[in-house]
Amino acid sequence: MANELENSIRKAAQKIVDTIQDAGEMTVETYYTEVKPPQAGAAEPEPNLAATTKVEWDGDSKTTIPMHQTAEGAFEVDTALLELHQRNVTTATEYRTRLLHSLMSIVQPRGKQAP
Amino acid sequence: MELNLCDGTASGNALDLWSSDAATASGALSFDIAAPTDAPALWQVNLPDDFALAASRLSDSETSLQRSQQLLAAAAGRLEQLQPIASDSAVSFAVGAEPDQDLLPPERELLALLQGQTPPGEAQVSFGMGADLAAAPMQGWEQAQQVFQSLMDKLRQSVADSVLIETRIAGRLLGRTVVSWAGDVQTVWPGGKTVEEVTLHQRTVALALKSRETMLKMFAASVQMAISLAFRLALPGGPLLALPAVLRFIKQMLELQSSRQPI
Repeated sequence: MANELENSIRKAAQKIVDTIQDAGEMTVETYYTEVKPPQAGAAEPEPNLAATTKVEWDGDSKTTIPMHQTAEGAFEVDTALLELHQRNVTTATEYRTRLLHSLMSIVQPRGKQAP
Repeated sequence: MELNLCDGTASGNALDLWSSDAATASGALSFDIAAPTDAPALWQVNLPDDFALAASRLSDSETSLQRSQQLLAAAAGRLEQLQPIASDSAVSFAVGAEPDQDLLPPERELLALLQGQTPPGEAQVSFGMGADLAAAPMQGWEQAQQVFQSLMDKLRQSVADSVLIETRIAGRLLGRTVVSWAGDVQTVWPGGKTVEEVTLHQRTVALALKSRETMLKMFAASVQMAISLAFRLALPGGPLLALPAVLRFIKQMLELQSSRQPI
């Protein structure tokens, strides 16, 4: 009975682990919307994509960073938005790591678990 | 702080911050958690308009969640110390060398449930164990199945395709983030937010995600505790019947902790 219960739980957790690990990459996207005074019947404004980071689990990563053009025509990084985006990337990476760790603690048999 | 967790079917927080009452699926006991619900789970935090107060409320919730995680480890340790003592008339229990009359309230209630007695202050046992199982075996078994099914439903809910996290201040949207199971994140910021407001939303996102993790840890820990307890105490109904008592034990410890009583 104990084995049956344990095995069922392990199989269920293993399915989730497989789903997460099968996803070979993780994408983090940060959008902004312009807030305007609400108008009756007006649709909610479409959010604009500000930055994207794609992390591939084989080690590659690609980031599109937000920039704006100055009055002189030069391009500058929007540091505030970029910082926001980087925090989102950190949150997402840490979440995935901790989630997998929690799931692995279910999947692994008792006595073989990592501390 | 108002924190609602909605999944499109039900809302509430059965085990405080990090869980919600999922709709109970009908039908037979199922171990399948592969099919997530269509509607994303929605975490919506509505903070007060006073920034310092809002930050303080979030700090309280973060502390509460951290204590819940620590409590899970403590609960497992305390259950490990429970040992059966053979006697002529009935089985009694002890923590180490201490007799069972010195047990703390959560342990006392746990053992009362496992022996089929009504816990103090309760008119009716909500799930039958031990003697109740012998008298009406199907009833105890079915109730244990329902408890387990409810737990599996909560797990199923927590693995829904994505979770939508919203932070509001006095009803005004501060930020909205969608996180998928695989870790994909999409965040929408309404323009013109201060650094402090942005930080509030990021703390809310972290809180929601840690709550999901805690739910998973609680699930794993309670099953492992039930298996260990059933084996060591040679419980007649096995781990499935011990599971509701273990869940109640954890819940009681959480309640004592939140009311700042000795646990």
